[in-house]
Amino acid sequence: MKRREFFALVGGALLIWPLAASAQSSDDRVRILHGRILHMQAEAIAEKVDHFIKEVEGHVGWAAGSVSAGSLAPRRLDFLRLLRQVPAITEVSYIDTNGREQIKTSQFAMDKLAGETDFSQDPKFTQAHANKRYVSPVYFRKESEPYITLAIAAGRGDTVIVAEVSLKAIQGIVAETRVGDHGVAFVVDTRGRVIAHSDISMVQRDFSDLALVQAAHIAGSIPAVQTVQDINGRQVLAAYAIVARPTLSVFVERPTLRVFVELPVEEAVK
Amino acid sequence: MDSWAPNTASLDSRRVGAFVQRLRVLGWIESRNVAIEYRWAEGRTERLGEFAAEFVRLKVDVILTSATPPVLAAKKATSVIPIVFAAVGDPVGTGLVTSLARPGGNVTGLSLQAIDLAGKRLELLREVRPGLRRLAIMANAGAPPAVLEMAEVQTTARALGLEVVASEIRRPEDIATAFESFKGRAEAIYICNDPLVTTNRIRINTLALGMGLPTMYNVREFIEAGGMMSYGPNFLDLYAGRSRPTSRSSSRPSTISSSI
Repeated sequence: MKRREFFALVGGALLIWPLAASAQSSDDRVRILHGRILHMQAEAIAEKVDHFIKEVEGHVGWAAGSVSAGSLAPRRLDFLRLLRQVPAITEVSYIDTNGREQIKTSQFAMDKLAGETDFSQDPKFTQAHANKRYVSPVYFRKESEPYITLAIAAGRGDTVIVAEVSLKAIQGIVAETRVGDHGVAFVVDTRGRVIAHSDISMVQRDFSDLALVQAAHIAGSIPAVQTVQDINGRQVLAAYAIVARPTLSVFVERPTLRVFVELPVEEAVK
Repeated sequence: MDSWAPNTASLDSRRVGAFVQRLRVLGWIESRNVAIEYRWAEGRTERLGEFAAEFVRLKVDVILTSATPPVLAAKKATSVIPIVFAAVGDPVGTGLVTSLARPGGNVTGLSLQAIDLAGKRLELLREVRPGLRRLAIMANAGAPPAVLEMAEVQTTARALGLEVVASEIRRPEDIATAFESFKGRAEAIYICNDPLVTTNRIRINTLALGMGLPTMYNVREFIEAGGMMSYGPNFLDLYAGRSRPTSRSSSRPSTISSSI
């Protein structure tokens, strides 16, 4: 092949390149790159969420460790300090060896001292006893704000410190993640309820019917990146990451390349 | 876009300022790509209907306000224009929204949870005034959330074994009369917040100081005007949207501050 012919061929290929946008090879390469970026973003969100939970856990652990045995008043002061230092914690309580709640300090309600509420059969007591710590599934306080219950064994491992933790911070983490011009990021709990979403109006929606969410929860593991349909039936490239405790799935998705390429072409035809 | 506040320009301009500042951060710059019409009711709730009608005539895109009466007035004037409240005592209890999760209609915003926190305020008041036995409560009978809060405080205070003197006010002139009724019958006073009380906060604090009555409020601005203590969300955070709603639903503010 002569040099001139070679350039003509390459030049020709470059000229027809936009028309050949559906050609598998270049399409796939861009898709793979997009997928990698999306996956990195999903991993980053999962890591930040995990860090947030661990940090809160650390603070609760401190309160569990600093327990001055027997006396309730200093413990209450520890709890007040905890509420002040970590605004995400809205309630802290102490459950004694018999599973009775002895102190409950709250940002919202009046503190309870020497309460007799029995939690001896409650997972926050039994599980924290058995496994040192317990993280509940996500629940919504007053149907409005996502929360978890975090329980950590204290003293000789026979008493438990329980914290109610607001997960509102996750919405902040998701909101600050920019996914291209048309992409979104969201976090769902094990029931498929949206905990955080780039579009705040989607929070609390039920995504459990979404194939992607079902696959993540039922199969336990799905490909890190795949092409699927989003909640509106549009084809998207979606990346997935997981937060272990509490179990949360993080998704980052953007419309597939095909959609991106087709739109300008339609514009050009007009 | 429109904003109108139930209180006075002096107090609310700082709160609305926090909102305008936040808009700027989000790329909405006043008088460049967003126009804001301000109206101040200055504690006169009868003007709210007139403002709401005017906003509808001006075909504004969204109405921002705070407190229950202005939201009610706006709701009456339009079921189409979105109404966003920065802070309302109890949006569910007063029927502004159906629920926090699904507000419904064209109204949404942030709940102050004024009623939820009533017990907490009593607890704090008892801690700073040990041996408290007799409590005065004052609320505007024309403000639905204040009435709900007063009922809640009464119930909780009685459960704690306190004697309660409750006084309802409707106009600024009633404030002095209310304080007359507290004379010798109260050791502290719990004031339920509403625009009427906010507008007259200096008068209230002066009377309370004169009688040596510690005051408890739900907003810190009262403390800056000479009140003793408050427990509740920070209004500047609410207006700036720093307490992010968890959805388009009404939501709890992210931080609650106590001021003395």
